[in-house]
Parts: sequence; structure tokens; C-alpha cells
Amino acid sequence: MAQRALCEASARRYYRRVSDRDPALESLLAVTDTSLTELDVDDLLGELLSRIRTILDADTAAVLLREADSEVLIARAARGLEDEVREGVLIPVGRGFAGAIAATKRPVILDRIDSTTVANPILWEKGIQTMLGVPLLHDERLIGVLHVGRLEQRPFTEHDTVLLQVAGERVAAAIESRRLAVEVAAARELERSLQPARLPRLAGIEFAGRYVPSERRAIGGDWYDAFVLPGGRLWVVTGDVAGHGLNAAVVMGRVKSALRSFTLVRDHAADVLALTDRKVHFFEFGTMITVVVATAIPPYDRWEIASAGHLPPVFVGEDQPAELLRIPVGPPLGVELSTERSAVEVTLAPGSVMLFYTDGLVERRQVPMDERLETLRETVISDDPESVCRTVMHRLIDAPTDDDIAVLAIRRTP
Amino acid sequence: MADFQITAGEHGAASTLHVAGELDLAVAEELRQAGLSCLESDDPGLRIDLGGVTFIDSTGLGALVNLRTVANEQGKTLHLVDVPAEVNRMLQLTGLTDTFQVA
Repeated sequence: MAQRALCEASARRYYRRVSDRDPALESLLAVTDTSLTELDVDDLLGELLSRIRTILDADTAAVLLREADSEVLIARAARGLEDEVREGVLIPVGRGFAGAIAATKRPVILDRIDSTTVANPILWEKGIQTMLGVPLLHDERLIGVLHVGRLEQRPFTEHDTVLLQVAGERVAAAIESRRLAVEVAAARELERSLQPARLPRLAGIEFAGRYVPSERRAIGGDWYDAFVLPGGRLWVVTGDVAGHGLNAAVVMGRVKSALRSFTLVRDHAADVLALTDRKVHFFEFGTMITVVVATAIPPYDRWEIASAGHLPPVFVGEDQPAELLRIPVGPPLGVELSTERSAVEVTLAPGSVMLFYTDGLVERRQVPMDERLETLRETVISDDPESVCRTVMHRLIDAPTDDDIAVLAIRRTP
Repeated sequence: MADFQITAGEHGAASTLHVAGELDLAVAEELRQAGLSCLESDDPGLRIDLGGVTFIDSTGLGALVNLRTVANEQGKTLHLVDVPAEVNRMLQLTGLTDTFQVA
């Protein structure tokens, strides 16, 4: 293969000299700085590729991105090679020109373009004679490949390589910052959309819920849910997908929906848990989810409650001290397929309250969990659910939270 | 900040992974990778020494569960060693006590 990998030390020496005085490069740096906040990522990539093409006197410029730690590069933006993006070109890491750059994380110059050197026929059909490509790295991790090409036989130089590396750093930074911002925004929007917009209005049971996303980091996968089936059977669910970010929120959406579906075919809380466990095992492999499920039929006096690794709900009867419900706790969903799920029966007299919540409400690094659970227990009193939620949130949330918090209170109407 | 560290050691035939500090989202993946690299060896099992752990959240527990799954798939055992009371309590609360072999 007519490839030349370049010595990184010499590239770095070049880098200093080039970045100090190359006016073309200065214009590239300027455009990325001012545009970062205004353009969406596709427009920004398009703009950067146009500039790069000018600076390097190239006919084509393209960015391929690696999708979510997969072993495949996908054409994302191009100038002079628009078909690459339109056709959704896929390049396996390790194959061909871009694949080799991705696999070695090193720049490559290619002076012969044909089926033996590149994996993508668009490149040789277009008549490209010489190519230069650099890896796009973020914290040493490969996020993609940036390459340029010329239609005439005028090979790229080491100077070109250094220019393209500097440009590549900017492109990588732009992609990462934008991707992060988009992911956080999307996860927040998704998570919010998955909380019930309105809790059921039901004779005999009152509801109140709170969902507060983490202040300090990307969103998690907490949810609460309450719904009534035809015939009056009521289901109350609170769950937490371990992990954070868009993926946790997406998994949460699927699991919440699957669990709802299983309530259409099973009346027992333990059976619904068992089916949801199977769903997580087969379709969400590697995910761990805690969830507590409660169900009752009118007049909602006798409840069946089952827990998969979830923190115990708080129960308080009218004029009685609150208690943490003693439920047989099975492992979280996704841990052990052969798990036998079981439930307890709880009698909810008029005026009695149950509070369901996720670990973000009680978990604090410096305080043992049992102390926090005790604080929660003594905070919950037999009151209307809105007041219960308000008091609990006020008393338990004493500092910026690391985690999402979902809380659902129900009361049997006195 | 977590004062998290992993050191691979030897205990009989199984390697031991010593973990200290706060096992949370920030280090869960690091723990998982360290455990996976231990499981790549020919050792018959993996011991995870949690003696220095001061805090564990659901992502930390998730990493331990994942390592156990991988170990079981390979016909190996995973033992938790020197489990602090607070970590043990979290295993109880999350219904994971019977999932792990605690030495």
C-alpha cells in the first residue's frame, strides 16, 4: 500500500510553527470559535470542511464518525463528496483508507486510489488521485476520521498533514461539545416526556408525584408511573435504570412501556415483574433496573406489592407512625433470569398513605443509608399526597443532587 | 472526589482486585474494565476486595453484577471479599445478597 505514516514528534514541531503564522489556519480557528455557539453540528461541519478544502487546496473533504463505540465509521459530512453522505457510506474500522486511520489513530497519505487501497468505490469513481486523512480524537478515544482528496496527482505534504491535524482537533472538539449538549438536552426532554403528564383521577385514591433531574450531571433513568386499566385495576410503578445519559433514558422508556404492556396480560405484580425481567434479559442485555410495582382493584383497599431490588416504600396509616414496608426484595431486573418473584399484600385503610421513590431522594455519600431511610420514614405523615411530596422534598433534599429523583405518593381517600 | 484505585494481586489461584473509595458512576466503568482484564486470564475465578469502599451506588452495584455475569458465562466464580457494612447493607436493600458469593 502506498501509505506513509508520519512521525508524531516532527508533526508536533511543525504544529507550533504552522499554528503561529499560517493565516489560512488562523481563519479556520477563528471560524470555529465564533461559530461554535451558533451553528448546529451539521452546519458547523459543513463550514469547517469548506474552509479546510480551501486551506489545503483540496477538491474533496469529508468527515466520517464512529457511531457510539461501534466498529463502523459512517459518512457524516462532505464537501465535493456529497454522495458519500447521501448513500450513508459505512466503513469498518481496519478496512481501507479511513478504516486504517481509525485502527491506527495515525495520519495516512495515500497516492494510489483504487479498490486495493480504499473500501469506498465513490472515491475512485470520482477520480481522486491522492488523499490525506487524520484521526479525530477526543481524550485519546477515536471519534472519527477527517480526510481530504485531490483530483490531480499532486501529493499531500507533511505540512498539509500538520494543518489537517490542527483542523481535526477543532473538528473533534466541536463535535464532542455539541454532541454532549445535544445528548443532555435530548435526555432531559425524553425523560420529562416519559413522566406522566397527568396522574389518574380516580374515586378512592389521590396521587401526587415529583420528578427532579440531577443538578450536577447528565440525566439518569428514573421514572414513576400510575395508570388505570378498563375495569378499574390500578397500577403504580417506580423504577430506576442504573447508569446515566441518553441511553439510560431510552432504556427506561422501553422498559416502562414493556411493563405497562405486561399489565394487560397479567393481574399479579410478581408476574408482571417476572415478564419484565425476561424482557430486560433478552432485549436490554447488560442493563440493571430496580423497580417496585403495586396494584389494586376498587375500592383499592388491598394492594399487592412486589420489588426488584428497589428501596422500600414508606407506609403510614392514619394516626400511626410511618414504617418502611417489609417486602421480599428480589434482585434487580436483568440480574438473574431464574429469579422467582414474590409479592406482599398490604391493606390500605382510608387515610393511609404510601410513598414510592428512587434512590436519589435518600442516597448521600457521607450518610449511611439506614440513617437516611429513617429520616424519610419519620418525615412521611398521613396527609394529602401533595403535602406529603412537598414535605418530603423539602426535608430530604438538603444539597445539590447527584442523581435524579422520582417520588410518587398515594393516599386512600379518607 | 473518589480516591479510587485498583491493584491486581494474587490470592492462591484467583486474582484479587482491591477497590477503595467511592464506587459510583465516575469509576464504575473503570472497575468493570479492570475486572474484565482479570477475567481474561486463566484464573479459575476473581476475588474483589471491597475493604476500602466508602460508598456504592447503583452504577457501582451494576458493575459488580456485570462482572459476575461475565465470570459465570466463563464457568468462573466471583467472590466479594471484606465487604464493609454499608456495602453489605446496599446489597441487602437491592436484593443482591444471594446473587454474590461473599467470602
